[in-house]
Amino acid sequence: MSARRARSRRLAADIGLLTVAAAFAVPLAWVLLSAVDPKADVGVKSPDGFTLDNFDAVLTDEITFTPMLNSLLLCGGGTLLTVVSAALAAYPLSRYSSRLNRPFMLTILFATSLPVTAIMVPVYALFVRVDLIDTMQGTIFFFAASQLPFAIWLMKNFMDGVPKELEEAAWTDGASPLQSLVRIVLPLMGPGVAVVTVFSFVLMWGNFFVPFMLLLSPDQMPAAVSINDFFGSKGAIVYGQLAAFSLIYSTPVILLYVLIARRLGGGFALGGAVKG
Amino acid sequence: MALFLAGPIGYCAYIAFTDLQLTGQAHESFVGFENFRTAFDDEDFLNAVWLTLVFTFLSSVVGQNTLGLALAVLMRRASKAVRTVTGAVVITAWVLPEVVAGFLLYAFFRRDGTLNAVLDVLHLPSQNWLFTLPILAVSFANMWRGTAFSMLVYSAALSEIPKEVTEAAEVDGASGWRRMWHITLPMIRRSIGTNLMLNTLQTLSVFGLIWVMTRGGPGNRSQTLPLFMYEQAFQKSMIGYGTAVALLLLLVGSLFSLVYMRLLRTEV
Repeated sequence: MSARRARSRRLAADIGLLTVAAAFAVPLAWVLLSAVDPKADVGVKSPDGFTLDNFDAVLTDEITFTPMLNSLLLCGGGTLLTVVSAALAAYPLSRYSSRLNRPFMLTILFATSLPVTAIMVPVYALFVRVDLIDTMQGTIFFFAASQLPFAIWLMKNFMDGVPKELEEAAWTDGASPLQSLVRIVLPLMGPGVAVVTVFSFVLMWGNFFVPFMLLLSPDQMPAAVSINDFFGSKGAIVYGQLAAFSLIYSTPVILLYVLIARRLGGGFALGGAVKG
Repeated sequence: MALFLAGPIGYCAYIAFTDLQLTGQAHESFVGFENFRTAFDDEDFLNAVWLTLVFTFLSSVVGQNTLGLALAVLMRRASKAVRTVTGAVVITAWVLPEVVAGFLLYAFFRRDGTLNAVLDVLHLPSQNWLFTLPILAVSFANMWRGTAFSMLVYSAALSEIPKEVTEAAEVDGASGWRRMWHITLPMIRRSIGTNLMLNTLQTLSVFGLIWVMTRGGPGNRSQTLPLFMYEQAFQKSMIGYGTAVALLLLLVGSLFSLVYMRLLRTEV
């Protein structure tokens, strides 16, 4: 292939990609521009000046801090529960071979791909029965349960990558399985644990439907749901403030994603789960 | 997990056969297949099924999957800077919380929103997208949000194709399209299967995005099954009926899930 053809091909690819990127970027541009625009509107336009008033207006207890704190509690609690349970469940799956392993992994895979949305109505009914509706802990439990199949699946794949010999040494020194899990295996699969943690957290953070259904009182609402208040019910929408809040609310997950993408050298973290 | 996932599913299977309502009723009673019969006679239900099919096909099969593959292929040829920028933009759309994505696209599609402004500049007719073509608008929204996943899956798959194979074909004079069709696609067909399956399952359960953008409206013209289920169960307080719909949705999901497992079978 001649150098010129190679260059013209690369140019064509560049143009193609940039076109798509531009199309994808327009909605993003709206949120960035509107957040600092004193007269923000629904359409993208160059801002009429620069202001931080929108941020000022939303940075109150009621609008930002309480929902964000709720989100943090919900997703933090859910993630912690998920990661601990996933580690405990993945360890025997990865270390001991049993006839039940395969069926169990298949069940997990099956559960991973079920649409969670479909079970929300019965979950709601169940939660009403057992009096967990509108409680933080109930929602945390459900978050963890819905995230767990995927977390176990990922965790097991990462754990399989840790050589067994290191543990055997610890066992001869008299370590219990739990000790060797906590002291040896988990530290060795640090990046794997990080991936599971970040993914669980990001997915919960963005989840709207679960807290929307399971929590009722406004003071418990996470940001995913409270953002809805900017909209519809009050008639007029202050777009600038909405945009500013969207930015604040999105920042943690974007930061986490950047962090983990760096750590894995840009590699695709879900590789273990979707290898085809 | 057994309690929180299997429990609801079992309970779901039970309620679906009752006429449980949210209010004004002491005991639910067993009504057999009544809910299902109602569903299949209900025009709104059939409408939701149809819209779900359209939504899934447009946004996940055509949109996310094809665009994701195209992006992955182009990225292998593009210069590094362009690759980085595109990747960052597309992935940002993916990482954003569902509700935020909904707002962004709501603003994009509104009558006085960005899309119409762009069309105006190009002298193309503008219209109120969310009103005239709501299902198309939400499909695009889902595509905007979900393409990154396919792109990442396919990038990984393409990077595993040995260079020698494509080079050999090139020496033999196979054109770009033919190489794509006869070599690249067959070699990544497992990834395509897996990715299609995951996209479809994801798309089946999309709720927040559509809720924020259109609430299923105008009328019920963008009301997919999850929204229909929500409306029946909570706005019309017919939990039993809503659950029957949920069960049907779950069944469809399970079917897809089973196919997906077969695809991955050898690797467990």
